[in-house]
Amino acid sequence: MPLQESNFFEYIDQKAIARLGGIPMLGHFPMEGSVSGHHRSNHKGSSVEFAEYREYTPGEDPKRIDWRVLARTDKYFLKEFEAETNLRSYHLLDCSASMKFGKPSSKFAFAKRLIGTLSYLYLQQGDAVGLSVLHPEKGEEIPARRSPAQLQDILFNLSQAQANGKSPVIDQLHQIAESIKSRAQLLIYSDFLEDPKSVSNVIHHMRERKHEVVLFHIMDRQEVEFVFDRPTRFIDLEGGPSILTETNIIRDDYLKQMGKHLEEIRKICTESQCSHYFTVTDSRVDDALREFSFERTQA
Amino acid sequence: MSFLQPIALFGILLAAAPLIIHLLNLLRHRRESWAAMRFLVEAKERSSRMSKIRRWLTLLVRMLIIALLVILLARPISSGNQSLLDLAAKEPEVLMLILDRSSSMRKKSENSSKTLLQHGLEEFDRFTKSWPESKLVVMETLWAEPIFLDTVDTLYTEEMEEIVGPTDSGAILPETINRALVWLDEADVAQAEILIVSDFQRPSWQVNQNSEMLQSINETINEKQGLWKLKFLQMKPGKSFNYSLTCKSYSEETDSFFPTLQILGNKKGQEKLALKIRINGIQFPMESEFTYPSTTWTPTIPLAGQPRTGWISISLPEDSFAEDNEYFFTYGNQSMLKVGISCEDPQAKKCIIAACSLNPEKVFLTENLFTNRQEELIKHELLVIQGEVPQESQGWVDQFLFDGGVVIFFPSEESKNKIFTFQKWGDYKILSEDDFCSVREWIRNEGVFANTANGKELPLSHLKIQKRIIPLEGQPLAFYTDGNNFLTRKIHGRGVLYSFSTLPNKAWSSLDEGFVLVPALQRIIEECERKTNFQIMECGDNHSRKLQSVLAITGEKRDKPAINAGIYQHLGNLVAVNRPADESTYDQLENNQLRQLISSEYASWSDAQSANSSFQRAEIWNFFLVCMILFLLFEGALSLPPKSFNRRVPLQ
Repeated sequence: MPLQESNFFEYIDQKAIARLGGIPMLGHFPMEGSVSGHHRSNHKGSSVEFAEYREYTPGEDPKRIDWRVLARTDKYFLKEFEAETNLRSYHLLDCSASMKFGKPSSKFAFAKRLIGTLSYLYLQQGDAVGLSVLHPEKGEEIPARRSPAQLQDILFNLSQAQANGKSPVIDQLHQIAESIKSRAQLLIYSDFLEDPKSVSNVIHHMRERKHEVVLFHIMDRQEVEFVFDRPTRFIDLEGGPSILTETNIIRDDYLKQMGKHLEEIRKICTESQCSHYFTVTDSRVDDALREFSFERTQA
Repeated sequence: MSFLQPIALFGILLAAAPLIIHLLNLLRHRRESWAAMRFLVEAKERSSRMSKIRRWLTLLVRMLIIALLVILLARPISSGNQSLLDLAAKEPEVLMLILDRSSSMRKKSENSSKTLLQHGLEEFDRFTKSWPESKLVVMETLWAEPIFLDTVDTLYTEEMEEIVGPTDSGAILPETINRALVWLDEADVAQAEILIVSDFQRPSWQVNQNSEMLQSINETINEKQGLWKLKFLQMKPGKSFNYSLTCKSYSEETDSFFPTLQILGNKKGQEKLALKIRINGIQFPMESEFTYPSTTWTPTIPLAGQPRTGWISISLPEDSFAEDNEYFFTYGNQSMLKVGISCEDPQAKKCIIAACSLNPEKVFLTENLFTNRQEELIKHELLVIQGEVPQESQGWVDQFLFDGGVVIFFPSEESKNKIFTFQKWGDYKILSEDDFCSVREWIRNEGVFANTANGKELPLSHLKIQKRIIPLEGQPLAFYTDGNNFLTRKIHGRGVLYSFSTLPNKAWSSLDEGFVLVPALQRIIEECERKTNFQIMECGDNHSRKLQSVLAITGEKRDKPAINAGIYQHLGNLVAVNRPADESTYDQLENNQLRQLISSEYASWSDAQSANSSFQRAEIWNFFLVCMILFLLFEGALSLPPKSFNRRVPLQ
């Protein structure tokens, strides 16, 4: 259920902010930002951070020649510094109907809280944050901006988003990978119940476009433990046929399949240098983000 | 297998409960919206065949567990020779106890202070517990009449003491069993379990003499196709030291009494026994030497100063079985033994009369037997017949034998190759004057040709036989050198038939010299006296049964001559009643001997030494309980997750 305007900020987890807000979270890959910031840029420029010495090539600006080195060695060397820029972070929310599942809160609601919290943290450290609601009909896209008002826009759009999409999100992810021109951080919030091959394709597509890809793999505990005490008719949230089965008989096989799927997703992420964070809906937001934050504050 | 609570078997329907619950569970399933359908579909497709087998196996095992529980509650019972799956076994209409009540059953059983008889009754008590609804009938060897019992506890009441209590009598089990089967047939009893409790003492069965009867019993049981079942329960007596006293013969003179006593004992070695002799109640000590296994002792008991008629009892010192320690006699009122003679050959007749009338005070002879009236003939106790029995007299001779009389047969020339009603004769053999047959072998330790009291053999080997006709039937007591029978002893009804193969006639043999004939006839006369003499009758025989209104001089006042040995006063006369001499023997029937004759599959054999004889029906709930526990464990094992089972998917 969408939150009222006054309750938008409930998407921001207070405990997570208190725990993770102190230290800036940095991107793993160089970013192309418009302004100076905390993140490594792919461009070299004036900065306090020394990068390397490089031999001068005719045609380059002679102003960048390190005269002290020339005086000592009679060789033309350029002294390069790392440029630092801001981060453009895009939150991509899977709105497929499968995200509705979960108790006590759905995967979709949990994903919204992760987005709200991370958006707040990034905006606070001066990075640009955008949002894409991956819904085939009611898809919304907010371009990445650094303004403080952006948070309200994002939270409002999150409150309006509904998980009832029928078609797979993969196509939409491909489109987004294509549409975002410059390097950015793409955070995908999904249960990734799609075919691992298609997930692999879209991640590789994003990586080819030099984006940093982060997967928040959200599942419900019931889905990963599959504990039922009696025969159950399972109704497909995405409109497929229902299945009547004795859960205790298929549990073993189900868990094997699920484990294999998760393993494949993890493998894809490792291969394509993506970050993969698995979380279940009954965990706390600060716990879910703890590892994400830890890896990015250690840079 | 049958059930004590068959009504509980209706509960077997409950075995369907797991299946019904399973189906109901499928019907009342819960509905659950689900996201990860892809894995569900794959898991369902891949759920192995093993899982399905496992599920159905679990259901089956649960059904079996309930079925076993129901069977357990129905209290299944089975007997040793009955198949576990024989569900058709019904409650027998009659449970019959055939009780060997002979004196030897008063012995203590092995490892118990109870007598064999008491132990046997307890076994029957346990036996009946398995069929609480069946009628209980007891037939014991003394009276051989069926007695109905309301409950098995009736056996232990005082009124039943006379029916199932201890006796000093003998027993003939084959007759009693036969009588029981006849009664069952007459009473139209469809299904019966017959428990035969006996110590299997050889004289109580007389297997050789009763082989035909035992075979007929076997046939009857086979004909009934398992509706009547015989169960033989052997009671084994203890092996503690015991002496027993029996009397072989006795004679009396004016001032003395000469019993020939036999002391049997199971203690090896030589021992001096202190005996007590009571003459009309006054006790005198006396000593006797005993040498294992038996000693014959002939004391002289002085009667000077005693009343003209009276009684004597001789008793051994106390031992483990006191009932066979005392022997009773009366003196001064013996009646004469009536011997009837019918002889065609004059010389043989002369010899036989001479041999029989050695003691004219005791023996009364009737010559030309068949010329007397039949009423007169019946009063005889011994008949000596040479030649053919007239057609009209054959019937009463048969009856005479059946009632327990003794007959001595001598052949005649007409006997050759003939089959009489009582004996079958072989070839008539005549040898030349110089040639003769002789007797090579005979039974020396007992019977007609037994050695004398001082251990000397009878001069049978000196006999010269020139004419002979071999008796073919009966137990041979002496053999010729060519293996043919010289003398046979045949049981006919309750009586005994002796058949000589030659005549005391010079033309036939040297039997007329008397060295063999006289002791042989005297011993037969003694046997007759023992058998028929009114004054030393045996407990349980016809005479003792007929005694009414008697007064016990020894023992308890309620004693009855048919049941208890002792001295009784009957119509002013004293009567000595003793336990049968055979009852003192330690000779047990060999196991196979009886089994060969009663080989029916519906006869079972057991030994009461084990706490519960094997054919007692036992509740077999413990078997089903064990099965149920095993199935429960199996069900538990089936419900356990397989080794590869992951409790959850690793989250990281």
